[in-house]
Amino acid sequence: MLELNGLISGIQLLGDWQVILFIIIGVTVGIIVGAIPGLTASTGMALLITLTYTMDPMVALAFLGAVYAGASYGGSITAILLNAPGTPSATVTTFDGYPMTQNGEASRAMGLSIGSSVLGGFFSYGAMLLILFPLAAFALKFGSPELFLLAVFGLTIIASMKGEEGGIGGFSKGIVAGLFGVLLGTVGIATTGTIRGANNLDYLIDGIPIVPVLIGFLAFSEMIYLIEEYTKEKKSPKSNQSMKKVIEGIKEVFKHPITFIRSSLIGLFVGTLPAAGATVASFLSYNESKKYKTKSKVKLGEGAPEGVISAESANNASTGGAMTTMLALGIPGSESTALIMGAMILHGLTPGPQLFTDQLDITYAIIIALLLSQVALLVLAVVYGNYFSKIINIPIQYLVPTVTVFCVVGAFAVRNAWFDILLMFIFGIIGYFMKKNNYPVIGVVLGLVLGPLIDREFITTSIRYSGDYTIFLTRPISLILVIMIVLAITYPYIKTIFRKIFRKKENA
Amino acid sequence: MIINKILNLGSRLFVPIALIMGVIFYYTGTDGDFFGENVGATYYVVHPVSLVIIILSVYLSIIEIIKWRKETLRNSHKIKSNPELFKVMKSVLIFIACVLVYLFLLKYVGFIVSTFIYLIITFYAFKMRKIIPLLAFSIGLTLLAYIIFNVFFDVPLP
Repeated sequence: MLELNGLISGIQLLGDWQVILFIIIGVTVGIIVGAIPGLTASTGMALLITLTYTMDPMVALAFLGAVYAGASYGGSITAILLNAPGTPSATVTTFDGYPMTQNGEASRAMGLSIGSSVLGGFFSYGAMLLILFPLAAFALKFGSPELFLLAVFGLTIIASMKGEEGGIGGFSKGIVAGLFGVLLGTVGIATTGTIRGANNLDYLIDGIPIVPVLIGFLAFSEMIYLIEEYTKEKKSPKSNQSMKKVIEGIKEVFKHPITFIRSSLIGLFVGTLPAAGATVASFLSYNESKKYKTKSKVKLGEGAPEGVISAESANNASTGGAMTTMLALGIPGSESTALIMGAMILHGLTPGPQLFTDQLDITYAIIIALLLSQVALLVLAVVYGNYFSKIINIPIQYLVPTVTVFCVVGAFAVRNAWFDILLMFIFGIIGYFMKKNNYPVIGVVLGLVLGPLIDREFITTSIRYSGDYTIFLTRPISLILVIMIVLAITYPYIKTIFRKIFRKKENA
Repeated sequence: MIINKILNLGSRLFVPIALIMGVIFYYTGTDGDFFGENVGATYYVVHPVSLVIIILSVYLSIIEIIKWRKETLRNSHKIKSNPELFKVMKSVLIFIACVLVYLFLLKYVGFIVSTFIYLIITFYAFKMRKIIPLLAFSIGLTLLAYIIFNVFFDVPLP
C-alpha cells in the first residue's frame, strides 16, 4: 500500500525552503480568503493560480493545496462570529457556532472549529495515503470503454444530485450543464484531425483554454453575483477572545470521538464523489448528527459542540476525498480540486492513473504537503484567529473591482492572449445566470474537463471495437460502471417510489 | 412593473437560450461535413450531445415560461411593486458595462492605464465619489497589482 521509495523521494521534493514558506503563506492566504464573505475557496484559488505560473510545480501545488486547506477552515471564522459564512462550506457551522458566540462561548467555538478542521484534514489526508494507490492501480486497468463510462458517471452524479433537489427540472439542468461542458470540451482539433467549433479563430484551435474559463465561471461570476447583493450591513465582531479557551476548545474535539470520526468519514466519502464538495459534505454530516443525542444538555442547533465538530471535520475531510478522486482518476471532486487540476495541467502534470506510474514522488509529495499544511493551519489559526476576524470586513465595493482586476490578469496570463480575457468575461456572465437559476456550474466545469476524455475514449472505443458497442456490457468493469450510471440516474425516482410504498405500509 | 416581469423572464430564459446559441455557434463554426463516410467517428459524441442539449433547453425554456406565468399571475393579486429587481439589474448592467470598457481599453492601451481608468469609473458608478480615497485606492491597487504580478511573480500583463 505504501511505497517507501516513493514516500522518501516525495519527502525529498519538499525539502526546498520555498515549499515550506509557501505552505505557510498558502494557509494564511487560504484562511483570509475563506474568512471573507463573498470570496469562496474556489474564487480565491482561481485568482491565485495566476501567481503560480512562474513557480516551480511542486511549490505551486503545495501552495494551492495549502490555500485549499486554509480556506476550508477560514469560512468558519465569520460563520461563528458573525453568523455569516465566509465560504458556502461553512454555512452549517453557523448552525451551532453562532449560538455559541451568542452564549459568550466564541473562543470555545473557534477552538472546536480549529480542532475539527485540523483533525479532519489529518484524517482524510492519512486516508489518502491508504486509498490513493490501490485506487490508482485499479484505475490503471481501465481501458477506453471504462474511461468513457467513468467520465459519464461523473456527470450523471451531478445531474442526479440536482434531481434530488429540483425533480425533473433539476435533473435536466444538471444534464444540460454537463453536456454543455462536454461540447465546449470538444472544441478544437479532434483526434481524427478535423477542427470542430473553432469558427476560424486561431485562439480556439487548440481547444478552449480551461483556466480562463474556470476563472470566469467560478470567480468572475461570483463577482457579478455579489453586485446583486450590493447592500449589506457591516457587523463588527466582538473581540474578547482568550487563547486559553480556544485551546480548550481544540482539546474538546477529542471528547467526541464518535461524532468526529463519523463526520470525517462522511466528509471523506462525499468528497470523493465528483462535484459533491465541502458544502454537501457538511450538510450531510450535520443531518446525520441530528439523529444522535448530544452529550451535554445542549441540543444541536443551539450551540452544541457536536454541531461545530460535525460541520468542520466534514468539510475539511472532504478535501482529501476530492483530491483523491482528482489525483487517482483525473476527475475533479470539487470546484477547488478542478482548479488544482487546472494548475497541474498548466505545470505539465496530468492527473490520473498515469501520474502514479510516471511521477510517484510528486503524488506522495502532494499528500505530505497537505499534511504539513494542516500543521501550519493549527498554529496559525490559534495564534492569529483573533486578528483574522478583524480584517475581513471588506466592503463589496472594494472587493469586487479588486477581484475583477485579478481575474483579468489571471485570464490573460495563461497564453498572453486578450482573447482569453474575453472568454473569461463571457463565461463569467453565463456562470452568473446559471448560478442565479440553479444550474450546477460545477457540471459545466466537469464537462469541460472531462469532455476531451469522453470524446477521445468514445472515438477510440468505437474504432477499436469496430462499432460493436456491446463491449460496454461485456467487459466486467464497464458493466459495473453502466449499472452505477443507471443507478445514479434512477436513484431519485426509486427513492420516491420506496417512500410511497413505505407510507402505504404505515397507513395500512 | 412590466419591466420587472420582462427582466425576470429574461433572466430565467438566458441559460437555455445561451445554450442553444452555443450549439448553433459550434456547428456554424465548423468547416466540412458532419455526416457521411469520410467523417468517421469524429462526431459520434458531439451530435448526440448537441441534440440532447437542444431538446433539454427547449424543455427547460417551456418549464421556465410556465413557472413565470404562474408567478406573475400570483403576484398581480398582491400589490407588490418590487422595484428591487430593476435596481439590481441596473447595478449589474453598470458593472458589466464598466468591465467591458476595461476589456476594450486593455486591448489598445496598456495594463496600468486601463486598470486605473477602470477602477475610477467603477467607483464613480457605484457612488463612491470622494476624490481622495477614490484616487488613492485606484492608484494604489493598480500599482500593487503591477508590482505583485509583473515584478514579483513575473506574470505577463496585457
